[in-house]
Amino acid sequence: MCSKKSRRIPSLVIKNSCAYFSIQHTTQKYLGDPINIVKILSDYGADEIAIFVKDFASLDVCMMLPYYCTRPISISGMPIDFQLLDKLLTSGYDRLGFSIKDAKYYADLSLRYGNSTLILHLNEIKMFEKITNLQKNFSEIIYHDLFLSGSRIGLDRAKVSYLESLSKKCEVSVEGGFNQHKDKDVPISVYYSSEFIFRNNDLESVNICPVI
Amino acid sequence: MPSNIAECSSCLNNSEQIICTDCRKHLMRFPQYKRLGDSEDVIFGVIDKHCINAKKSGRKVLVGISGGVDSTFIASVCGELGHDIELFHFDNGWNTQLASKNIYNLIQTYDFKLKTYIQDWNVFSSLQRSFLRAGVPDIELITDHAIFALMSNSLSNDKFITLSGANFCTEHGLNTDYVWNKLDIKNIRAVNYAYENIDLTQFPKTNMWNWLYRRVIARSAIYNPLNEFWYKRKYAVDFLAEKISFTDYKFKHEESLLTKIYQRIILRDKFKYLKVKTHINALIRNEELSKSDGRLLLQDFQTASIDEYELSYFLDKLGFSKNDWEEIINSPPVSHLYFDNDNRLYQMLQKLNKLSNRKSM
Repeated sequence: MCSKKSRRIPSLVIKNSCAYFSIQHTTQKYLGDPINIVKILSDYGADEIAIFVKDFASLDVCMMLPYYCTRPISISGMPIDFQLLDKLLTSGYDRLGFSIKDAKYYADLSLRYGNSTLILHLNEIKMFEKITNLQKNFSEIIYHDLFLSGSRIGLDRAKVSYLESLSKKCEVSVEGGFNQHKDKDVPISVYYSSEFIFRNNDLESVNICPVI
Repeated sequence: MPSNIAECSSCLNNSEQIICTDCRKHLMRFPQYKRLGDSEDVIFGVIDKHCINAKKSGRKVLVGISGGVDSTFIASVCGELGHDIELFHFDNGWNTQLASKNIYNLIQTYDFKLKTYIQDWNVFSSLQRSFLRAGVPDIELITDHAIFALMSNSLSNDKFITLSGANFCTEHGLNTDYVWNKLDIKNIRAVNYAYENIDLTQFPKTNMWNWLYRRVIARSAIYNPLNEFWYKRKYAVDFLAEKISFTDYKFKHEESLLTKIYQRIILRDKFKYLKVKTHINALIRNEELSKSDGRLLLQDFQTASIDEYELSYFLDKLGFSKNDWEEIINSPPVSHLYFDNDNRLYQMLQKLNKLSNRKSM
């Protein structure tokens, strides 16, 4: 029996056609040109790259990203428009992510694209109990710890062990608080805001670059 | 080619005389570097001196790094000497994985702090499109100006002394026809106005008066330590490979895709200028490369065409189609003088500088 590999997945927020580093899903810090960042992350050999699109105008640049990415790549945050979703998959995205708000479309999405293409994003851990019948529709469920998101203080281990127990039923991942030194041994997949190269316009604060 | 033009006896340039102009200029300055020496003691001594002086004056040492050899070497020597320095990096959206990896290894090895300024991509790409459409030779002017502006406005204050990787030994002999005054914001504004006319608020700006004020009156401390000994690129690469697992780029300035395409396509095909030849010649004169090895390296450069994938990546990033690109490459070159510029002031200041140098001699 082969053991499941727990992956480390950098995520990028795309807004106004630019890449951002997201903190608690509300504050965004500018990272630069998304094409360049995706290419560098891909050249590094990231396990997967997750794209979160924030506005409709950024979809054009998002369509170009898979061409320069040799690693698996997923996209979330777009509206439910089957024509658009078809285009995104044709442009090279491997998986599409949806939130719990899109619940009424899950059956259609699953029928059209297959379960292995779909990802579900959850913000509350108690939701896992409510969606037991939906789990089969998704290849992966990502829990976003909004409080820790964008920080480097370490994952909430209690939540991680709960998610790990769930991972027997379906693929479960966590996002929020990932610290590459503390969380080396976490047995489930982890998404983290890609602090690839951090902006500090005031030249006072100090931040560093690649976290892979 | 007229029959009296032949290859220079010391380098790969063509010349009417036995020794070309670049070699003659080099011969005037090179002995002083050779005298200074290239031993580890000398190199470490020079960089240690700068770090100790900075500490005495209560300042921190700042090294601007691109991920290339020269600046990374200075930072690495500082790290080996145990000095706590800060690094500054300007990200113009063209970094490669190799450059980032080299910077990352440097930070991890010595636990340095890194400040990164990420240039707003929409502004930067618009300026680059304007420069490429204008057909002026120095498209690196935009990046270099921004770095100068950041250095003069924010970095060169009483908190820091800046160590730069600029050096004579491996960088001399550049053809000045293809290089424009890096402080000429007027020229950048004029090219921008003629094409995309975007708001330049998000672009770091400086001018010659500001630069002069910072350097002469405010006495900003910017030093070029690699000019204080006989600097050899090969030694630096070997040193970095051993200390921080540095990966070298085959040709100088290829740590960024922009400069790679600039050297390999724009300068070569549009301006008929082989910048790489200048860099190879510099290494030959610096006694790091034999003439025959240099010739082989040049042949290698000429035969290797740029990867189709890399070019399409470059064009996609800037939003150019293949037709646009062909038009840009086939259009006639245009001088920076065609656009509004600060050249008169620059030449006047250069003359004054020469005069003051003569008086002090």
